[in-house]
Amino acid sequence: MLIEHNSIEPDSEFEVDLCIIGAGACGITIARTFDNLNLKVALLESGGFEYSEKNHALYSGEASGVSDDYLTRTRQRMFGGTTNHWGGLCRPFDEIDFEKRAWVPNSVAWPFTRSTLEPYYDKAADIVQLKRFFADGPASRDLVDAQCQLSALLFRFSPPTRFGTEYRKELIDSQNISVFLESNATELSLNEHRSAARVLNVMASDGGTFRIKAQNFVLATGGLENPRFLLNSNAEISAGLGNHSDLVGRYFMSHAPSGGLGAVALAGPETKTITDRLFNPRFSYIGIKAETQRKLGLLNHGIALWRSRTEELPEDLKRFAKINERFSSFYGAGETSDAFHVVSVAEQSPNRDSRVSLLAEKDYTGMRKLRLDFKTNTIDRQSVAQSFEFLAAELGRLGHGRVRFDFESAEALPFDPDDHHMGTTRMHEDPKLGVVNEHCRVHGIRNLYVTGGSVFPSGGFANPTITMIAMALRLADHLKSLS
Amino acid sequence: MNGSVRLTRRHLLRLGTSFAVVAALPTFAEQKIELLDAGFFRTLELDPTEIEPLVKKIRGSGLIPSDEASLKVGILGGEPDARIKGMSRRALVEFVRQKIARDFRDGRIVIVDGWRLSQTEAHVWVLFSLISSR
Repeated sequence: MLIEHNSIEPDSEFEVDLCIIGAGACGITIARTFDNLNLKVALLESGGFEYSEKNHALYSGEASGVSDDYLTRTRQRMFGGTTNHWGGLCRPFDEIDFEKRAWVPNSVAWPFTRSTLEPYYDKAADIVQLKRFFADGPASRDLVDAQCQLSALLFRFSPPTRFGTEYRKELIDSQNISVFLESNATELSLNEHRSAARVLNVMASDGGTFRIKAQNFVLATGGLENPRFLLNSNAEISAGLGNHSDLVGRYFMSHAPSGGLGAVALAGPETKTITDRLFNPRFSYIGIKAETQRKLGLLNHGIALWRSRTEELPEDLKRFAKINERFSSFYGAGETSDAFHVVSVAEQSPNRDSRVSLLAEKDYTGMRKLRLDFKTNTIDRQSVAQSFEFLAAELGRLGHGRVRFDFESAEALPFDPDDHHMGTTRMHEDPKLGVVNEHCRVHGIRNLYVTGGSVFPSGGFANPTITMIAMALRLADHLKSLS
Repeated sequence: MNGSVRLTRRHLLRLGTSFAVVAALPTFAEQKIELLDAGFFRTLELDPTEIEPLVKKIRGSGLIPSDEASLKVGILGGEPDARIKGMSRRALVEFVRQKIARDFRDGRIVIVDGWRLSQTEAHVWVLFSLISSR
């Protein structure tokens, strides 16, 4: 059911079993799993069903290391959250993404392996209207054969599912789920022992206030707002909730997508095999197999071959491709060739100083605004350059093609963060190393959970939404097991 | 028969011819070089002018020799003479292909216009250009 914020009496108090703060992909996913259960659920959303500048302005803050509009451009503060503008690209994280990697600074393992998430990935695929990843075949395969250390990493495209419209009616029609729009969670207070969250203070966009008491709270406001909210909730614990080890807001990570980094000229008998595996019937990135990532000390990285359907390839690329083809044929490999531009998506390693913190300035709800300092580690760019070197060496070694680099050095590579916000409430069993435990519960607070990319200890290179939804489904199972 | 070798006139003629052939053969290094002459590229269907801009850049890098003898030695370098001796043109093409693969495996790379090429293939490109220009 929908609760109109302007119909709520001032200082009202609602009591529910589960309060979900944030109606984006994760919040809506969790709420839906509780539909028709004998449990009362409150689903809060700061925005409305439609975009509003006033609501969106609550995202404003300060940032360094990113574009000026990063805080507002990369998010959507409305029902459905950032699924209102996502591209729909989906791929499960790779097994290596769940491991502690000795060569990656600040690396910690996830508390479980990918196999734990695989059933949830397939359920998440249903939610974003995709074929399943694991039930319908592997998410990765050899680019050519077993001796080639390159993989074809399958991506699937969600329509994309706009959660705010796709699941709106179902939630509004629900008898046990109450949807609160234009309702900003401002602070969560604890019980006297500081061991449990007790009551959530809410300010509606018209300035009215109310409270929600719940058995369990789930924070699902995104990788930037999750830490902001925890740091702002500092009435009982001055450092903020979950910030016992000064980790809330730290290790902000994204992915770095870059075009214009180079070109690939394929030639030889495997050209069709390679292009088929990359483009038919679905789109795949080229990846470097995990054993080679371990051997060379690389971060995860995806390389897409791209060619405009409407524009011709540049003359210099066409000329090189022809020369390469002729020599390939000369060496007995037949006359098949193809040429592409290269698009790269790079993993970012965790950096403790890449962080969300609070400004002194407050927004109209009384919450301190956020500051984002985006920082990278040396390995982030080095790994991109090394991955390109490996791609060139492997295609060359096996006679599949040649690679052109359009950058001079690793230091010259761009590393501009994508719209993916991860790592700021990282998950680890040890409270010294994590904000939340393996069930995404905030260490030390028995009924406060966090969901979304902020709990990821590492971010791989794949778009995070499907993993966030899989994690949300896992959390929903855990919450149900409590009741 | 007393075990001695009787040389007939015909034998002597054969022996004389063999000596003449051996005397006429170039030194082995030269023989290797000969294997990489114009005939080597006869199946390469490439207009030399197409490759010229890249070859100029390879030459400009100073990393690859520009004289024919050094280029040929660079392409075949490191290979035991006994193996090269008697190689057919086809076998030599395959030998070069495998050497290019080893270059990529072992990091013997030259950068030309951003392209990662094997050192051997860069030698081959320059040699092709040189021979074609004669």
